[in-house]
Amino acid sequence: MSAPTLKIEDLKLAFKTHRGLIEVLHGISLHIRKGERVALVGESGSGKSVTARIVLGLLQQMKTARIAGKLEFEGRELDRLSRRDRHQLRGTKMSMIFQDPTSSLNPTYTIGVQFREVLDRAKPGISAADARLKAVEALADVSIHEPERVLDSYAFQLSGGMNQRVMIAMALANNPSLLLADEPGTALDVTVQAQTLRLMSTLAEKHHTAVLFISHNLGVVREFADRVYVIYQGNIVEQGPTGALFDNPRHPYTRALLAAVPRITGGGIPDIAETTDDFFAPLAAHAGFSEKELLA
Amino acid sequence: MKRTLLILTRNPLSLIGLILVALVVLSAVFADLIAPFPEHRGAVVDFVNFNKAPEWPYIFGTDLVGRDLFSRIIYAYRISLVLGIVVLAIAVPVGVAIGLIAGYVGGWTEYLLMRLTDVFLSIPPLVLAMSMMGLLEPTLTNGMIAVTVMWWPWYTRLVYNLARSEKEEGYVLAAEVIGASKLHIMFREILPNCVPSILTKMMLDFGFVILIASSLSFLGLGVQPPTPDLGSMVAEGAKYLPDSWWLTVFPGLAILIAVFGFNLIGDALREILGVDQ
Repeated sequence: MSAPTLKIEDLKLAFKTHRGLIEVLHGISLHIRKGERVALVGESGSGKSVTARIVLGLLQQMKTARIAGKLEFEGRELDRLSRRDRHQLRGTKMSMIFQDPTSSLNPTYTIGVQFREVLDRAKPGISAADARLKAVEALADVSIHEPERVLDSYAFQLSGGMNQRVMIAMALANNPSLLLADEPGTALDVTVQAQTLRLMSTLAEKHHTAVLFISHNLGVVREFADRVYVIYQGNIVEQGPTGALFDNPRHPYTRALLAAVPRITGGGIPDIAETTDDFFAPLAAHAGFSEKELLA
Repeated sequence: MKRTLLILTRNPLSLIGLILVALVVLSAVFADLIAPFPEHRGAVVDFVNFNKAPEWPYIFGTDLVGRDLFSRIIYAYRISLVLGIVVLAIAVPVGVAIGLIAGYVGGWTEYLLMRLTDVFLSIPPLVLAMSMMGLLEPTLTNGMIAVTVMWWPWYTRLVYNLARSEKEEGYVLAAEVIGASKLHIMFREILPNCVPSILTKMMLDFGFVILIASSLSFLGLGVQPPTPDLGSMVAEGAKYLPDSWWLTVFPGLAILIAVFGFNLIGDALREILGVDQ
């Protein structure tokens, strides 16, 4: 089997504060194969977003961050790459979509100008006409009916759903091998969110892009992910194929998380008391879905 | 543009500001055509008509050596405007660049740049300019240098704070993710979002630059005679109050009109560009 698109091995992260080191990730391992859609699920503060930032190399610039572990991207060890090569990957081979699409676009430029900047990353010096042609094509792909008008608009003139589609089009414009979707569309209303996610999912398939979904929304995860990693307080506590994991959650935290899916009766995010055995329950991998077996 | 004009003309205060500034700028630009005695801007002596109260053709009266005050005020405007433009044209880019770098890059760079800025801000502006002028020859150029040196830190502070808050915006993160360079993010992403605040401050400052420059020459540290300058004209005339009142009142009014006008426009601009202070 070819090397996975992304492989994270025993990733540890700590922040240096004036009260000493605060550990955030305690050694997590996960991988995504080409074209696979994998979800990383957990509550706020569990370490989902920092993982994505480490993959992109954004956290490494922080002086207070202490990072250990192995990151491999398409078989290449990321930390061995020169700064230049690593920088080269961003925006071309790896891209990212954020929670709030509207604030992710600069309010002082039209969509067209920003689209050209994205395309310029993969093809430096692309002409305005070429960029526009490509942008129109990419926008048509995300079911935007008047791409010309959208390209001449500013982000604040478009709806949230429209901006989200623009972001998806931009993120996939350079045919990345990995798309990190950090709670995509959480700022949108649910119907629009579902629509755009479906769109993203089909497009990612079309581009053979591997997607890492970072989410706390189990409904979204269930619908869009092939495999799921559950992260809790900086540890992966359960992993497996989406169906099996939802039908038969093994780890106490996963069970608690599933029980917390909003129903009419409600209930908060679960917590496991740190004194119980449940808290120390080992990683639950579904049959045939441990890192070892999958990467064998 | 249409909307801008509409807002400017609809609000009576902005309209007054617009008229005052237009008056000042036009008289400065067309000084040669408007001034009844263009040669009076220099060293002219006319003892027959010295120290005259306002009367035709000397509508603002004449000074102690018989020069037409109206003509001199118009030429003084020209110098004030040039000074304002030059000072802001240097102080703003310098201050903005330092503020952007400090606000975005952070760390030691921020610490160093902002402490340096604080040093300048901790000295009362006029005292700083005065001590600079004490070291330099009192000429127009040196006056501009002195005012510029005291002016840039205010823009650094302003842009520093703006950059620090803009830095947290999603579009900056998005730009970092696609691999934009630091320079690109500072000057192409963050700066355009700071422009409204910078423009507003510039407009408000224009009046203050004129005021400070006048204060310097009032103290005898700015432009030297016979070059006409509003500040030194007020200083000169103050010795002859209240008898020769026109020597002080008209140059003083001229300063008031310019400062007031630019401030009103600045306020209007703030409203138009939606800057909240």
